[in-house]
Amino acid sequence: MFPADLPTLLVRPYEPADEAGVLAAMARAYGRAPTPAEWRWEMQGNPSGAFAWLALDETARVVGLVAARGARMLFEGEPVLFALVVSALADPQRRRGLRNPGVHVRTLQAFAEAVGGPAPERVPIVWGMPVPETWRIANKLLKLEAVRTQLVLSTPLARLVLAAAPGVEVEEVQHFPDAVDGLFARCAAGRGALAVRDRAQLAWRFGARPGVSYAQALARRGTELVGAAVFRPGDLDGERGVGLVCDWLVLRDDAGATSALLAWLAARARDAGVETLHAFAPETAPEWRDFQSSGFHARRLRKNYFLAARSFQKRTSMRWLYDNWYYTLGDTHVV
Amino acid sequence: MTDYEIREYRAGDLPSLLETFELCFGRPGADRPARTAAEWSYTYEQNPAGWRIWVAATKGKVVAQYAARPYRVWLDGHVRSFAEIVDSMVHPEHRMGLKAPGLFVQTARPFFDAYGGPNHPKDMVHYGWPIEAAYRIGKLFLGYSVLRSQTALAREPGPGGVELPPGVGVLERFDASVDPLYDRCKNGWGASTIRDATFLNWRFVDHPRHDYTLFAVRADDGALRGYAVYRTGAWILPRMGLVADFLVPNDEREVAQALKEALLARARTDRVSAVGLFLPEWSNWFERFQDWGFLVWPTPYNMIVRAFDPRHKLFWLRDNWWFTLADSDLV
Repeated sequence: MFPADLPTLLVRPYEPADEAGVLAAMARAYGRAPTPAEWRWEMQGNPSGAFAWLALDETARVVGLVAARGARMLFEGEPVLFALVVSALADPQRRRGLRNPGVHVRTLQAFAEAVGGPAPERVPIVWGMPVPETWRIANKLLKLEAVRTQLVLSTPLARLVLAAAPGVEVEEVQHFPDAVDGLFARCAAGRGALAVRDRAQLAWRFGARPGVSYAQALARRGTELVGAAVFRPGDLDGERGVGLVCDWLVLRDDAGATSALLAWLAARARDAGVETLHAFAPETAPEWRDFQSSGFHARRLRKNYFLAARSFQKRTSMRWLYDNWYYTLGDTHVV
Repeated sequence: MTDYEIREYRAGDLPSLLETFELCFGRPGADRPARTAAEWSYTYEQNPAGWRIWVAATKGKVVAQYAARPYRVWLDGHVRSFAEIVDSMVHPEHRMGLKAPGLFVQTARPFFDAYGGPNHPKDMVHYGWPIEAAYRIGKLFLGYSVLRSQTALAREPGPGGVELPPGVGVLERFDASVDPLYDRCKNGWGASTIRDATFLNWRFVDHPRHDYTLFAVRADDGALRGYAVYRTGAWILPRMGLVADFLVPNDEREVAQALKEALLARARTDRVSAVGLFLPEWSNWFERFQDWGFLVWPTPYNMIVRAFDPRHKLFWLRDNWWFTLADSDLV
């Protein structure tokens, strides 16, 4: 039964009619909230889907929320869904301690029970990038564990080492074409886990996001697509005005494509008036080595410390994810 | 079901403890070699900071151990103790000896109660780089938290000279001249193992299994300006050049440069596959070694901690604790 001071807390899945109440709750909890368009983009536009659970008090006011972004994955070659937690809030007036949890624990538990579970029926991996202030809740209540302490790769433009890229042409595009599906399929070969980067997903992630513009480019050798990259200027981990390598998909060991796309990123960064490039890649992926060989250095992040996950299937450990999961900044909600 | 006596190590335990060690680690594929009596004595009895050992015994024989090597640590102007968990084991025939959570956990729990605590002389932090199986158990039952997914800085020696650069010498032992060097460094760090001659000679010079080379740069007046400790060994790669410790003040960049060249020269002579080291990511040296061509690589390890002082928990330790391979028993 409900604890005495939570007499009528109702926990249930989010519905579009809850939008105004959710945004008001976010404004109370965070001091700011997404615009309605941004929220609809997150909750309704994603071709991979979204997940959200609410807690409402006796006046039907939203006092708890867990929202997650779906990602269609190729996981050992099979299609599964991962869910990235983008918001987990409890109304400041209803928060309680970890020893005596209230809104937070009930919302998070309802979310986990409804969403998490072995593939293919359920979502086997729920993950996030909690900041220190939210790590205890993520760890204790949602049972996220560290996959890795995330480092960022960064370089001043002047340190970039660009090899020759004979025969590789880079074309900036407004939208990725259907042919990007084939590039993704070839890049996915041999990967343990990575999010699907097909035309529909990329169009939503980088083409349709309200209020944020991304520059997108393709690399071709002759008629063959050999790589894709996405850029925007912005802030990362408290550092303002940096160049963000938002996505990176290049055929393995294609040094020409790597170099050509890095040259495009550098040119885009100069155009935007920023002097550094920042990227995410797992240190277990070939891209990690490629970026370092091109002049990027690994640095700690001050705020987004852990990439953390909860596995709902026994065979997938945090170590397996550490060793096998490829992702970029675009997989996160950071950019 | 077998009855176990779970208690602190005491005189007379060593013969059966070493037998169990041999059973656990003296086999192909073990993550570490078995210990001789001399190595055990070095690790525990001769450690200037003491020992931390809890055992499970039955019928007069030690069949499980949960142990740590303590180090004296300078933190916030005081001497504290951190302890590195090492050599934890359960005799193969006793791994199912108790109902869940098993003998490993039941030996470890009183260890933490006995030795962990916020105030000196108790250990403020227990830490280590456990193998995956031990990490999974520790996470579930013993309060292990991941402090970092451990990376290593490494590079090939590359072309170049094999002579020591001018100004770099080799020490036989550390002496009191290391104290002012450590004093210069420690104030920039929140926490660090006290690098005095007692610790360093125990850790490197008197090690019963490995030979370390102590590269050093001295000023004209004999003052120690920096040192780096090196040995070869198979670790993450076959035949690596391992930089086991590195101590140079932040503003002594030319000293560090000379030591780096000495390490690479020796690595070329030794024909190693790569030169590698641990450094904390918050340190300027983490960036400078990358300037010198070292890349950051993954390792099989998570660095885990169990911290007992609420003022110095996970995030503080990540951002303020200086450590190198010297703070581990990995090399």
